[in-house]
Amino acid sequence: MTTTEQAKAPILHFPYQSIQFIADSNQCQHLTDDSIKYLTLEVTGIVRFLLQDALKFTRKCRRTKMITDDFESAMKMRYLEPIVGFRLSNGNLPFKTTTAAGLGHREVQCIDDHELQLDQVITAPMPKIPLDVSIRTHWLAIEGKQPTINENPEIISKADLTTDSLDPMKSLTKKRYNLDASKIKTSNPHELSLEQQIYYKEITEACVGSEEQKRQEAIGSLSTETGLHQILPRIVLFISEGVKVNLMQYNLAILIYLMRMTSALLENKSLYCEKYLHQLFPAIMSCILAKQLCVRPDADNHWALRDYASSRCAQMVKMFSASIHGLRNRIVRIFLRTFHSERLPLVTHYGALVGLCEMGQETIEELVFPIIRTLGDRIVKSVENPSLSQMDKTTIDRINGVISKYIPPAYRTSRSTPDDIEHFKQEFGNFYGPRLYTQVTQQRQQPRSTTQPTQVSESTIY
Amino acid sequence: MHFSSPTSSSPQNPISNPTNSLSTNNVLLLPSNTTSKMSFIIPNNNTNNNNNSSQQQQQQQIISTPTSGLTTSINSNGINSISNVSLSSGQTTQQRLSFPQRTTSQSQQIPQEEFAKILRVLQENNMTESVEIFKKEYQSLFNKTTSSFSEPYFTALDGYISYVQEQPDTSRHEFSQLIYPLFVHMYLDLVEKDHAQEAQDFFKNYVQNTNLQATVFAAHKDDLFRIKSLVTKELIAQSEYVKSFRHNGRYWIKLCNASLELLDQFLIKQQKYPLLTKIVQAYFQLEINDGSARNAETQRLLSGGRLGEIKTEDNTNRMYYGLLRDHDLTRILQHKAILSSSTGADNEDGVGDDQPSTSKNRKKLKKDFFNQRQSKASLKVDPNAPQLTRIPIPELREHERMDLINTFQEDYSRMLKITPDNLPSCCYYTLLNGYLEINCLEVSEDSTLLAVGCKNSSIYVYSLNRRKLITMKLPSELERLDKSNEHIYEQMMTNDDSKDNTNQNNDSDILYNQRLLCGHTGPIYGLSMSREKWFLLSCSEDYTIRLWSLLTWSCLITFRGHTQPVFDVQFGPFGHYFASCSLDKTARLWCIEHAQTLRIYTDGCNDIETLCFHPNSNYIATSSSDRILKIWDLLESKEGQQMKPIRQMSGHKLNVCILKFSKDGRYLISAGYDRQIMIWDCSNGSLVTCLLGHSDAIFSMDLSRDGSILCTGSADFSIRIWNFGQLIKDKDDGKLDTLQRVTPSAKYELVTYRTKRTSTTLIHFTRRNLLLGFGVFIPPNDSTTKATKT
Repeated sequence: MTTTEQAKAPILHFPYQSIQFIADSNQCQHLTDDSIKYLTLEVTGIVRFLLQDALKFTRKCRRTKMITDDFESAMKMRYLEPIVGFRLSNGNLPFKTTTAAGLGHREVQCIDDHELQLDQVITAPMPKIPLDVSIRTHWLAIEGKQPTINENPEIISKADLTTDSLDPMKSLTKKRYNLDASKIKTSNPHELSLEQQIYYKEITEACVGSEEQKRQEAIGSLSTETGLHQILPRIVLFISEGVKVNLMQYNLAILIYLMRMTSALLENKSLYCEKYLHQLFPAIMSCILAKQLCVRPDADNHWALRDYASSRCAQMVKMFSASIHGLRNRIVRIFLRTFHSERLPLVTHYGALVGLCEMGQETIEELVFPIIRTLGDRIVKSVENPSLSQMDKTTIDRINGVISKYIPPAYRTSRSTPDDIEHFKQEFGNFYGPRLYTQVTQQRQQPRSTTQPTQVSESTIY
Repeated sequence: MHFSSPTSSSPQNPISNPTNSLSTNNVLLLPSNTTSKMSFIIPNNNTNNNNNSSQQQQQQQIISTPTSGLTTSINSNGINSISNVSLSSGQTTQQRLSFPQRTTSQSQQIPQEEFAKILRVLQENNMTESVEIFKKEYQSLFNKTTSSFSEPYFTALDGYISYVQEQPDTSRHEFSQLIYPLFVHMYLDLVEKDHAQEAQDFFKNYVQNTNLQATVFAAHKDDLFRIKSLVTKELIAQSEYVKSFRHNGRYWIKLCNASLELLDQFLIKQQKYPLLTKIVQAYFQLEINDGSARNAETQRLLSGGRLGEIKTEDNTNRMYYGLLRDHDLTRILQHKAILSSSTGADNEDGVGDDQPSTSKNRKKLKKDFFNQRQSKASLKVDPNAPQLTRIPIPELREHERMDLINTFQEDYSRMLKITPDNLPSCCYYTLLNGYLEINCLEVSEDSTLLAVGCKNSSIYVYSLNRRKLITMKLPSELERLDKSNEHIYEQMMTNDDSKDNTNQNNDSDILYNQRLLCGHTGPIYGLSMSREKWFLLSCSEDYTIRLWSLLTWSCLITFRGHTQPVFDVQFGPFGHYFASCSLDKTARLWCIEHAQTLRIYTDGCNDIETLCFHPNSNYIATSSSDRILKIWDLLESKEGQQMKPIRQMSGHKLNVCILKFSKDGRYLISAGYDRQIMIWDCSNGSLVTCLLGHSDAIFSMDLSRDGSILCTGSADFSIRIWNFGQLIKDKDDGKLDTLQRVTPSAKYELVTYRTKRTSTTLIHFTRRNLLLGFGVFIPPNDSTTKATKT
């Protein structure tokens, strides 16, 4: 509370009714109007004096905001008993307004004084322990220059803005420093402007809404807008949470939309998603590997989602494997582990296979070739199983499709002629060996172009 | 409800005291001896003001009676007018754009008693409807017929304001000085005469005038807020503000001769507004300023005190602002300065060459860079230095002397000289989780200990270097020590250092040791550490000051004497003495060996909020709630005389937070909530200049060890560094073109350092001139006030 504000603020004045109500509740019903008026003035005056005294304490403690303790001190100074227990909780006054029926429906403020159940108090979780004062040191300035460290404020300049857009985590960590230091984990340090909040709301609504036109625009905006780094964490969180929720509800459409958002974010040149991979990868992997993605797995085209997601996954690995050590290996290991665990349904294996195949030539050569044999054995086994479901049949068809789509071109580039059918059988097993052999030999006759469909065509997804 | 009987004048009528003549040769009191003239002039004047109604006649009658001329209240015209507050609460607000002609017909008015009588009769007979109708009728009658009581007040003040407007630009500001005090007195009069509603209108009318707001009221915003809340007679009687405004002396106004004559003409000769004349005679004191009218800016800078400016006479006594000549500490410091300069580490030229020839004990401590630059002449004994025996100061103990010599040799030889090209580095200590809990901070002279005073009445002491806090051994162990050993002082302490010195914890963010001192029963408002780090003083809301030992970590003495919360306490520069100030309107001088107060400095009706010791330990400076800085002498005044401040300085518009003397003791620097950094010359109490630059309250200040750099920390989350040495040098050379005026920040500001969300509450230069900043981190969700303001 500053003095200039005080001078401008309307002068504090108790309503006449409040005083009357207090008088009434203290068995003084027969006060005349004049005496109540006089009392009102008097009480108001006393409170004003107290406020002026309280201001002395506020100022002495070098604060710009008056707190209840200042008022208590002021009361003590005038030998009044301080009122204990009135604290602003979350900045709200601890009063509630009611209308007193007996007083001609006037608004009266009273203290919300509800009864507490003892057992509730006892069983309630312990409140947070107030944190102890701690001291943190840093260099505010070194020989006249303020070093650009987290503890110092950002000096807003163009250079800073660009680094900010490259690495939004920097500003985020700057803000977070104070949090870590004061060990307040629950409150949020990341402030968004109102415009950003509105943008976020509109974008997310449009992306998962029903209007395709709007969605196109939103996706376009996400992929081109340059100032998104501030809300990038929010969008990423939206995607990852959205995937989590919709996966459980088999909401295929939404999942596809979310993947398109991811794709848009990746396309945006000004964004740098590296710091959010821990959220993005699980979401994408879930879309690739989930046991079930839609309500009717045999009818709905969840294959498109898996394919699309795996191509996104491969894209991300390509983008970030340079800066993140071992990213590729980790992702690949996840796929392989999934593939080798036999308890999982065929659809998941399909996902893993697509995911691996999308990784490119090298991965296919090194990792997919060796597993085709086991895959073939597994398919043979499940085909022999009398209780083969329609779902599994489609999956097997799909797997065959993937194999014939990725393997022959890869094989053609990696191994030179002549092709030997026995060799194929040995490498890829009895199920896939002959098939691949024919496909490879067919392809060898075609000219070497347009043979590597590394990406699922976008049309399947839109 | 008060139907105040009109004949009785207000019991505590302030005008009733005829002015006692205090006039000295250059002080002209608008005097009581002109009253006879007044009463003569009025009847003539009346012909000019026929339209000014019967009220004036009323007044004139009373004025012209010789005995009651000045003693009667201004309410004299209220004989037949009835206080209408009670009846018409919703009275129409008065538009003050023009002065309507008023016709009063007193014959139609029903006297107040009769009205009350009729009303009573009606009420007794339960004729409620009639009561209503009668009231209404009376009211309408009343509104039509009586002019309001406040009318002459409006007329008078409007008249004066328009008179001021007529003055030429060059001297208008001189006249406008009177507007604010006139306004306040008029308002208080109105309230005291039970015309609350009219008083509110009066207040609103002038305070909401944007023109006046910017010029006249700008310096008094804080007091206007207080005035605004005084709405009843009873509140005025209780108000401390009114006490200090009305009954603590006269409102002091400085004018040039020409303006004064004009004013005299207007107020006394013309007598257009007798009301004004009365107020001026009762409450004002006009002083002739030599020469022509002052600069408007200067005048604006110097205004802001609750009672106007400072009597020139008050600042004429001699003040020995020089540093102590022969004290050990001075000598050691001086000796070291030579040492350092001869080793060449400190390249302050001149010192090394000039000084070795003079005998050691004649050398004066000269840490100030700008002084050292001067010729040999300045090395002579400073005529302004007080005698060493003026205030007895204990000599240093032998081991203290050795300690000092050692540490100073080490540190001062490595002291950085700060220049515009070589700006100081700043190490910042942010106190986390302490917002609203930590009240005050204090750091030891050698920058190794930090004391933190909390709202919950506890004091924490932290070690800022990696050493453990030392503790004295138990008495039983002490007895066993060999007292002739030269390392006796080291042996007295428990030495945990050796064990923990390995520093297994290399993280600089973690403090190595802390101590808690408990004893106070209220929030701590002030802390002070003695030079040798043995003692800590703390003052608290519980009216006491405690002296703590930083060796045994216990409370040694509780000093009682203050009768209200103690706001500040500070050790003298040589220890031994300390001063405290309190809301009980006194500052006190103590000595750590006695539990009783040595001196009590009372300051009328004003709380004393901060204080600062002069570096020669002969004076203390205080700032009080009337926004006037005062310097008090530690020397006892003559028998029977009340302690009077030796210097007074007015100019701050809001509370002062921090005071500091320059290192040579000549200048006093003050800063506070009004964002002004004001530099005062102690030799005559005049303002040197005012530095502006901060955009919020200034909480902390320090001068570099060589005295050339001033550093201020503010609530706007910044630290600013000013070239104080250059400023003083320019002033001495006569090159400072903003003498007694505002110096813009660009001129002497070297650099601004910004913090994130920490307002610096303590700034400290180490012996090597490294800048340390201390502040409590303000959590972002508490920034609502901040945000709305900007």
